[in-house]
Amino acid sequence: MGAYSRLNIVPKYKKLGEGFTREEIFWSQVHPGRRTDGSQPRAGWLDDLVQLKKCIILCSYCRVNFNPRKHHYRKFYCADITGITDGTATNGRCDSCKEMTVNCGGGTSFVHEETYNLVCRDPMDARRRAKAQARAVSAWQMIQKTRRKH
Amino acid sequence: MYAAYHLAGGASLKMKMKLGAAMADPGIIMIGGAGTSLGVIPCTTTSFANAYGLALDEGVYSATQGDAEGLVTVDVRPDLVIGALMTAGATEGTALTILQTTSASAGGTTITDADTGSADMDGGIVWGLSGNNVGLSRGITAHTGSTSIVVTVPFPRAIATTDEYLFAPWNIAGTGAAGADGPAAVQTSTLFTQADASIAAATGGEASVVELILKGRSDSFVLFKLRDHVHDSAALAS
Repeated sequence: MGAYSRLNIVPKYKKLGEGFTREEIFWSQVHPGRRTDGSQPRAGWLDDLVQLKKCIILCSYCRVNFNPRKHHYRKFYCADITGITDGTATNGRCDSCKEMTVNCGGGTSFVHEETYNLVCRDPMDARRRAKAQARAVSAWQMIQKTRRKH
Repeated sequence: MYAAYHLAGGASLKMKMKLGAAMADPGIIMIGGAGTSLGVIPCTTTSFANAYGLALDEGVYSATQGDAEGLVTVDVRPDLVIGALMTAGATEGTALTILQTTSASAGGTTITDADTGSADMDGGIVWGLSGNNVGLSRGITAHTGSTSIVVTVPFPRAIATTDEYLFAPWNIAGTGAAGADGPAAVQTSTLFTQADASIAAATGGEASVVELILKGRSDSFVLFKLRDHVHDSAALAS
């Protein structure tokens, strides 16, 4: 019959590290958030994020405990073309309680002032800038205005 | 780049992801890293393969024991529409090139100008900045290197030698085939924060152009969706 042979069949998908889908790799790279073994309290973790000027995501329950103005943060804005939200709603894992914000009445995210204009286009901001630009006059226009008065 | 809106509407979905390589600025596209760069890494100027989304803050990557783990917040919805300022080159903040035809086109179809450059703009868009056709745009259907741009649908008024036009290699409609590949790709600037409008149509990272905001030389934007997002196509085994 020949030498004894043993055939090892190893499934390609979801076994022994083979065949991870892109989505599985994605979830493996998501940071788990603050440590919950007592070594990282909520306020300390949020303070660390603020020091690093990171985007902060908070659920509706934890949101009330965070003062964005004190830390030079603003609400992140991304237009909602359906009009269901006002553009400031954000979902994700709450940086304070680690719950998914969809389960906690919805979430809000905040970005540092320095980052805001790099990643957001707030229509109220654009309106303010356009009005300021319209009000600004050149030196020549100012002279003409002054001449007309006299 | 900025988060403009989501095609399906609703709230954004943000995740804090582990960094696999250094990144310099917020507002850049993050893609999957591999090998010793496992995590999310900045895209390249010409590829957004395995995209995770748009980074909304900065992270500091470190492979030194004791240092804090590098994190970056990413909007991971695959239908995110990203807005990028158009720049006329790899350098950020370069104003778009103005075209002024050297010979008038009574039929409103041809702009003859050596400033059209050598990069193939066939499938892109040209729009009036001043003159007879200010505020109007047309798809480019023929481009002769450093000589002329031709549109099939004419501008309503003649193209005069005093008119000023701007052009870009993107369009919101097309099949992806040569000559209709304006929506197919976006190439970024060197720092990955703006869109290079000087490259040939269909060159750059995998993208689907959704909208064009056609204004002046320094305030025109291209809005696009990532075409090769980890959640958006058939999952590929590693």
